[in-house]
Amino acid sequence: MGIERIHIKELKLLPERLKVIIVYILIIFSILFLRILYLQVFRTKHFGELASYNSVRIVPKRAFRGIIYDRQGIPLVENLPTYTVSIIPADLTDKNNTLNKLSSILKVNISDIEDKLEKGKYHQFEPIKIVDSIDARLASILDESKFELPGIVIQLDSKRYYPNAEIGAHILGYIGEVNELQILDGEGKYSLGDIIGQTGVEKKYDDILRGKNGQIKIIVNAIGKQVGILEEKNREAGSNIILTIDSELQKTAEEAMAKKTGAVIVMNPKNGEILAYVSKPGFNPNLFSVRTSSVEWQKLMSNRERPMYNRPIKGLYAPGSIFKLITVIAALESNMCDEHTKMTCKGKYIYNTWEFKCWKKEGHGAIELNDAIKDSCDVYLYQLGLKTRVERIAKYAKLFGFGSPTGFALGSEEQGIVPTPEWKEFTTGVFWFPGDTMHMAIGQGYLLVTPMQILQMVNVIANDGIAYEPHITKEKGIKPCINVEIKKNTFDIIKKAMLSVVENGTGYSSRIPGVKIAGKTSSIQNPHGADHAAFVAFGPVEDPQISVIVFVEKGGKGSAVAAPIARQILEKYFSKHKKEDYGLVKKDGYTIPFGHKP
Amino acid sequence: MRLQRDLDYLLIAGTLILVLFGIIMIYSSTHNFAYNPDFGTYYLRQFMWAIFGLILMFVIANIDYQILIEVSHIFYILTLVLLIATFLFGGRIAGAQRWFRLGPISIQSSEIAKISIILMLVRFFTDQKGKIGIVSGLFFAFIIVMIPMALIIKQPDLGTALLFIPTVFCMLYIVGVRLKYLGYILGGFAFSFPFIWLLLKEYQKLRLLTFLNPGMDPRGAGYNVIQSQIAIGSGGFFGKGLMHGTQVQLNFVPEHHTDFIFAVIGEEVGFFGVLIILLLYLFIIFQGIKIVTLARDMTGVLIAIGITTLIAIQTIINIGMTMGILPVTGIPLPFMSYGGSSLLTNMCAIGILLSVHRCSTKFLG
Repeated sequence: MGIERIHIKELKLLPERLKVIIVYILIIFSILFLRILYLQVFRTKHFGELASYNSVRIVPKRAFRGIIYDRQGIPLVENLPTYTVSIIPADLTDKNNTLNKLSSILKVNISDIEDKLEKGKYHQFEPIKIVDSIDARLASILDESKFELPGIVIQLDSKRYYPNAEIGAHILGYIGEVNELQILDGEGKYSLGDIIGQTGVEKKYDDILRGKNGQIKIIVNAIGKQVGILEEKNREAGSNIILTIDSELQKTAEEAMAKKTGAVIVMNPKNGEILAYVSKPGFNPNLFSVRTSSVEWQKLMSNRERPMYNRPIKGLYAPGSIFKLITVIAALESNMCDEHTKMTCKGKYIYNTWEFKCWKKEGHGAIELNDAIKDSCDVYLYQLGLKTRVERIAKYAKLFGFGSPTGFALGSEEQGIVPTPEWKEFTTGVFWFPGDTMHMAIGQGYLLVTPMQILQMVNVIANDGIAYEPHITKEKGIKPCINVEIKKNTFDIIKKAMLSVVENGTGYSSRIPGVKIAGKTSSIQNPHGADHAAFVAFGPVEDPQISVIVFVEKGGKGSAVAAPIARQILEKYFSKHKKEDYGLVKKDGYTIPFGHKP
Repeated sequence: MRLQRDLDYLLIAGTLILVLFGIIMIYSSTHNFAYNPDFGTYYLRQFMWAIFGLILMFVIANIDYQILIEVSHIFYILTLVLLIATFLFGGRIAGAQRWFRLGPISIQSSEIAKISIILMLVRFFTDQKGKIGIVSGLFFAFIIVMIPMALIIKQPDLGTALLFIPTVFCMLYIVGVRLKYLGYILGGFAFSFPFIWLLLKEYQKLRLLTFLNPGMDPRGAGYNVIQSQIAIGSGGFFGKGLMHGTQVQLNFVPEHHTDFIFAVIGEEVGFFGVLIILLLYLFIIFQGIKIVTLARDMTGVLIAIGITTLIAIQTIINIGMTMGILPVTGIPLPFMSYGGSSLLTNMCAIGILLSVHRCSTKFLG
């Protein structure tokens, strides 16, 4: 043998070193044993939970939103069936391949998909919506190739569809996917991918409209393939809502305002129900129901006319001549004048060395109070204002609701400014001049009001001192939110004057035969361009059922632009409702309650 | 046929129980072959390899180990040729060139290398007559190990390559190399580590790094470990029952029939099953150590300690990796993981142990 045998005795260290090896092996196996003990005995509950998470995927079934109806039961929004495509990140076993195929089928950018996945990175086992509103054809193409697309979930969903598009957009608002901030603020109310109301009625009544999402617990294998259904919880549709809006009237108002910028509000002064509500330019809420490309979004946001801007409650303007009514009321109530007080207008009024012009260069001559309102004489009001003093005008302005929110809860309201000498000194550091009083008396200067506030003032006049909170859904037990206790005679004088404005004054073009309409025009000086045109009206004067404000930005003369728009609306209204009562759609002799489910 | 009296039947019994248990677990984890149509045949294939392995084991047991050492340099050179051939013409599986096709069968060359390196080292140390000099001894031992090791790392099969470090270390330790020199060897490996790092593929580096924090990337390198720990942990005391482990059956545990077979055991037969398996391995290792003490010459001692260490280290690394306390290296569990090369190699290793045992007891008797 070529190999020499070495006797074992030469390995002197063998027994000792073998012992060391045995000890090490025992130590290592003890560590293995302890680890097994830890995993299988002490932590088995934890790992058991992880194991069930591993194979169970919770796929929410989104509830269908409630339908919004107008007061006659005409749907203002519908749910169209559509399909959504989501990805469960944990099951995305072949990411590149799947995303490539998905992007070529759906024609979306891979980077967009990755952005969405990135946002949902802490939700590995939840489906993250990639695309919504794909049609049945695309959905079936995807469904056929779902075995090549592990981790993809296709679900029947609904798409919010607004059949009237722009009409009523600022009332209804729009919906959109909940954002991270809203999830945080909702404190568990929303989960990722939820669609919630973002503005308007959709937002205000989201809790009612949204319904309850259902869910399916799906058992999947490691490559995301569905192998069974563990549990299914059905979705609950949201409740429907009936609005006070009259969609025919709304349509008339929108059409009358076509291509104009501004606001129209039509109300029932008797209860504060809003019959029409227009903010122009509008937007198409359907754009938000599907994925809006960033180009379209940019276009909407960068539009200089600001279509998303809710003018009736956010637009701040000087009220102009309409405010003269407040000045007159203040003067009458403080006995600074009566119905027969005469003043002379020579086209301008000189105070010290300053000249204050009337809109009518040749002047109105010596006129009484009624004519001063009817013809909207500025010089009469300058003098009346100086006599009455700014404090009193401001006091009545505030009593009639200016300077504070109207309480209309569809979005955050502006509250405007009713200036006083203290306010001016505080904000500008300059004393209040008599000229400021004169400007204020005719509704110019520092005064800032919203169209909604103006209409509330009109409602107070129409109701002889009372106005109700403006609202858009039928509400029971409405209490007045403004209650001005002044002489009945004062309201009579004002109403009479407003009636003559329409009968033979500046509001002549809003006259409609057979109904006594009271109104007032405004042409508001606008430092940025043409005058704003405004007109307010209510009628019939004996028993007011409807009040209107038309406000056209840069429209020009209130008498020529705003009054004819108001007439179209009033005509429409009174052609439908001769003299009968104007209530919600009757069912078994009672009005359909709010939040009713069909 | 009369029972051969000079064999260590306890060692054979332990080995066969593990092999059989392994086949059962392979059947359990692959009986649902919806994921892979080949699955249906895996347990049968493993069974055939086991029969073949059993025959080889008895044949080797009856060859004197001296003869094995005598031809070990031929084995060693053949192994190097096979490794180079694998490197040049080998088939790729999951990005690694570990397989060399020989007719109908694929051979995992690194498995064969495990034994031929040990035998070659034994031959070298025996030639040195137990007097191992620093340069002539340790240096050449280092070369003997490093050539195949580098080829294996290049495949890349880091796990198998790194198995040799503790194995050779134990052999040198038993031979009686002074602790000072052993320190030098460790230092040498530490010194060569940066070079090994350069040989590593990105995924291997990632594996080593994510070993420290498996939760870092649930779908990436840490995924396997997390899933196998979930499987083992959720098994609890008695397990979920054969063919009822959700993690395995739903395919969450990757490579469940090969490298992660221990996770299947943990999930389906639970703590008690795992305990029995662990004790069986310990039993085989102590049978190996018993043979070390029985050996009559240094060759026998070295072979026995080399083989025993090899089996122990593979077991520890595999179980440790499955439970998330050692890095994922792709070392199969001896006797149980699916795979012909691994099963045959380990059964041959037992055959060599049996040979040492047979020759040693014959010497006495």
